[in-house]
Amino acid sequence: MEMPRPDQAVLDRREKIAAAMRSILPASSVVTELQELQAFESDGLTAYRQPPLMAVLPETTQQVSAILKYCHDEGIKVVPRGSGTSLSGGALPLEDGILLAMGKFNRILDIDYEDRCVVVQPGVSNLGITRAVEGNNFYYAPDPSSQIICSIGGNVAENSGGVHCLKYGLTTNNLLGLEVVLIDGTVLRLGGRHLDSGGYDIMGLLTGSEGLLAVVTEVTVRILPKPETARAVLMGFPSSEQAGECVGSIIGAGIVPGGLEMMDRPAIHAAEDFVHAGYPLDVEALLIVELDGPAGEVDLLIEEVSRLAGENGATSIRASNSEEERQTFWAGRKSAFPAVGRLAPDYYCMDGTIPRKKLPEVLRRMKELSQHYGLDVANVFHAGDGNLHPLILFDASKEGDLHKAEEFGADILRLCVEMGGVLTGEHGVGVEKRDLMPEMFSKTDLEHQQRLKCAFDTQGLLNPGKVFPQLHRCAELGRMHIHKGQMPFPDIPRF
Amino acid sequence: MPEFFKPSNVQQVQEIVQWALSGDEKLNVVGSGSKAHLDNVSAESRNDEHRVDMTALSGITQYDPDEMVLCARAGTPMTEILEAVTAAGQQLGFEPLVSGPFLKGDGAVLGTLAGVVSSNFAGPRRLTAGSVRDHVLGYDAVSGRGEIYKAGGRVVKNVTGYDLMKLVCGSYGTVSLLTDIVIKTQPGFKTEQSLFMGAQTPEEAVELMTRALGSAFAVSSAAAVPASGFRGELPLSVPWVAVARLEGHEAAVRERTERLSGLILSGGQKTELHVSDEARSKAFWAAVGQSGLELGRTDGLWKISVAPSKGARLMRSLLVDRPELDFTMDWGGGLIWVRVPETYDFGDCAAALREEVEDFGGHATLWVQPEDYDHETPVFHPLSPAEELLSKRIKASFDPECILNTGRMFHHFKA
Repeated sequence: MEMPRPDQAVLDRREKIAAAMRSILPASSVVTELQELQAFESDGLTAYRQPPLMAVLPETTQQVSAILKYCHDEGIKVVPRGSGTSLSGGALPLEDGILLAMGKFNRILDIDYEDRCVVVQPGVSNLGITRAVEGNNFYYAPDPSSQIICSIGGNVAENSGGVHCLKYGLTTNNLLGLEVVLIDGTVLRLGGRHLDSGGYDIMGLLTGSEGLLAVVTEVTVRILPKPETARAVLMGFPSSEQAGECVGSIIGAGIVPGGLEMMDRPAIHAAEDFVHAGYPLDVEALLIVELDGPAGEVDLLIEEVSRLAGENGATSIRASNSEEERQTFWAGRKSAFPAVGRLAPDYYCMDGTIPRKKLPEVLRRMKELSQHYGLDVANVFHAGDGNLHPLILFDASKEGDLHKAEEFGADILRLCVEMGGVLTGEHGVGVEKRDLMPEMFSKTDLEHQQRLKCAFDTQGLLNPGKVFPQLHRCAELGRMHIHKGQMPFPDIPRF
Repeated sequence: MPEFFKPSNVQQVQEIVQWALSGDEKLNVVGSGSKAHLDNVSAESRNDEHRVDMTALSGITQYDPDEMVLCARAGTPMTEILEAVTAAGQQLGFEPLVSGPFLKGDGAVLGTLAGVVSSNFAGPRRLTAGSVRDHVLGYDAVSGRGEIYKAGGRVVKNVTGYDLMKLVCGSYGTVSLLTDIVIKTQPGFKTEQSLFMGAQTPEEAVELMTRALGSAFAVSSAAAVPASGFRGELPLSVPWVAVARLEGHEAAVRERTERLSGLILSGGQKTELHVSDEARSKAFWAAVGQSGLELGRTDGLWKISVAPSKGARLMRSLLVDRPELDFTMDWGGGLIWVRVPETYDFGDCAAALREEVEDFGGHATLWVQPEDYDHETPVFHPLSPAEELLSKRIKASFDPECILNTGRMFHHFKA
C-alpha cells in the first residue's frame, strides 16, 4: 500500500512544529517520543503500521481550530483519530502528519428527553450514549460490534452501522447536529435539535467522509425509546438458498426485524465451539431473527416468522423464551470474529454489500476462490441488507500468506461489485479498499468526489492517502475544457 | 430567445449542459414544476433562462421488492412510483407529500421523483422514518461541468465514497441534473390508527406528544392542531388536539393504541381521548402533511423547523404582536406551519418571524407566497456566512460556471 510520499521539509521542521503545538496545547498533550507514538501507529486494520510525526490531544474546539489553522498555514498533513477501531485503516498515521487524537473530548454535554436527543463530544463511546440514557428507557440505535470502545466521532466519520441498522438506520439516519472544524480553522455548526436544516445537507455529506473533509468536535444524536421486549429466533437451513429465500419471505410479509443475521457453516461451527450458544451444527446456514416491540406484537411476529421459516425448509427453529436465552443466541454471532480467530492465527475481515438474491452465487464463487488461494473463509452476513462479512483465515507468520489473504479479499470485493453490489457496506474505504475504488467508480465519478474534497480542503491536508487511489492537485481537477463555438448545437426536442 | 429543451436521454442532457457552457448560458432545470415557487429568484427572471424539462426521462427501470430497491428515471411521476410500490405491498422509506394544496390549486400534485429528491421534503412520518435524504441510495447525473457521473449504488447499505446523495437531496437542482435515481422501499404498513388527545393549550399538546413519542409503542407521527383553524375534521371539541399515529400489523396496532391510551390516562390529568380508524387516521395525516391550514390567495405560509420542545414557546412568542396568525404543529412540535393573513404587512412580518425563529435556533422557509409577493424576502432561510461560503465552494465544485438553477437557494453567481 503506497502512502503519499513524506515531505522532507516537514520532517526537518519537526521540532519547530512541536513547539508550535506546545504553544496551543499543554506540553503533556503533545506526544513526540517514538515509544509513545507507537501506541498510535495502527488502528483496527493492524496489517498497516506507521508512527505519526507527532500526536496531539486537544480538548477544546478552540484548540482544534488553532491546530488546524496552523497546519493549514504551514502545509502540514493531519490525520484525525477517535478510538482507533477503524477496520479499513481510516486512522492510519502518516510519517509527516500530525495525528489529531480526539480521545479527550469525552464528555456528555446534554441529555434532552423532551427533544429525544443527546449532545456529546466526539470521543464519547457509542455505547456510552446508550448507557447514559438507558435508565430512562432510551437508547442510541446504531450498534457497531466495537460499540464498547468506538467513538461517536469515529462513527460519524465512517457512517457506522451495526446489526440493527436494517430497521433503525446507519449513523447518518440518527444524527441531528454536528459541530465541525474545517482545515482552515473555521468552526461550523450544522443542524441542531431540529430536523432538516436549510441549505445543502453538509452534515449528511460529512457523515461517512472518513475524516477527509472536517474534524468533528460535537455531535447531537437522536435517541429512541427502548422497545419493551425483544425476542430472537434461531433458524437452521440445509442450504443458503433456502435461508435467503426465507429472508425474502419475511420482508415480503411486511416484517422488518430489528436484527436479521446469517452465518454459514464454518462460522456456525466456530461460534458454537467458542460460546456454546446451542446453534444447530447439521445445517449449512443459520438465521438469527430478532423482533422487538410490545410483548403481544413480538409473540405474534415470532409465530409468523417461524411459520415462514418452516415453509422455506428450515430444519430447526428455536425462539428465545427469556432475555438470557436471547443474549445467548446473540453471543455466538457477536463473538463470531474472535471465534473464527481461533481457527487460524490471523483473519482478515471483508465488508462488501450485494443484492441479497445473489448470495448463493457469491458463496459458490467464494468457495472457488477459497480453493484457488488455499485459504479458508467463514461468512457472517447482515442478511436483511445484503452486507457480507467474509472472514479470510491466514497465518501472517507464513511467507506470502498476508498478501494472499489481501488478494483473496480484493477478489471477493470485485465479485460483490460484479454482482451489482458495492465495496463497503459499513467499514469504510480507508486505505484498505482505496485502490479498488476504480472497480466501482469511473475516473469521472471519482473526480467529482475529489473536487468536493477540494471545496473543503484545497491543499489536501486532511487525511490524505485514504479513500482515493490517486491524489490530484485541486487546480488540475478543476480545469475545464470548453471550446467556445465548437460544441455541436444540441439536437434535442424543443418547443 | 430562451430555449426550451426536453431531453429524453442522458446524452442529450449532457449536450445541453455542454452547449450552455460554451455560450455562458443559464439553465433552469424543472420537473413537473410543482415546487417552482420554492425559489429565491422570481418566476419572471427565470423566464429569461433556458428551460430544461426533465419529464421525458421517465419510467421505472428496475424494481425488486425483495431487495427493497427501486430505480427510476429522474422525471418519473411520483404517482407511477407509488402505484408500483403499493401494488407490491410496499411503501417508500419516506412519506411522500402531496403538494397540490400548497400551490393553492386542487390537484393532487405529487411531482416527479427528481423533484421530490431535489426538495427533500417528506410528510408527518419524517419524524421517525426520516426524510427523502435518508432513503436515496444512488443516482446518475450530469454535473454543471457537462460530465456524466454516478454516485452511491443499488444496494441498501453502502458507505463507498462520499455520500453525494445527501448533497443532491434538497439542492433544488443547483449542483447536477439528475437522470436516474435509486431509492429504498420497505414493507408497507398493514394498517394505521390514530389516538386523538384533548389539550387546553399548545404547551399541553406538546407535552402529550412528548409522552407518546417517549413511549415504547412506536408512535410514527405526532402532530397538534387547534380546533379552530384546522381544515380537517376533529373528533374532539377542545382548544387543541394532539394526535399520535400508530402503524404496522393489525393486531400490533390495536395493542399499541390501547396501551398508549392507558399510558396517557395514567398521567393523572383527565385527558379526553379518541381512537380513530384507518380511514380517518389517513385523512387526518394527509391534511397535516399539507399544513392543515386553509390558505387563501392572499395568505402566506411559513414552514418552521425548530427543536420540538421549543415549538409551543415559539408560537406564543410570535402571537404576542400578531394574534391573527394561525398555527399547526407536526413532528412532535418540531415543525410549525404558520399562516400569515393579509392583515399583516408581509415583509415586516417575515423579518420579525425569521429573527424570532433564529433566537429559538430554528429556520423558516417561505413555503407558500402571498399573491403580491415581491421576492424581497428570500424563500429560503439565509445561511450563516461560514456555511454560505462553504456552500458556494461545494456548488462550484460541481457547477463552476454557475449555470444550473442559479440563485435558487442562496446567491451563487459566478464571481
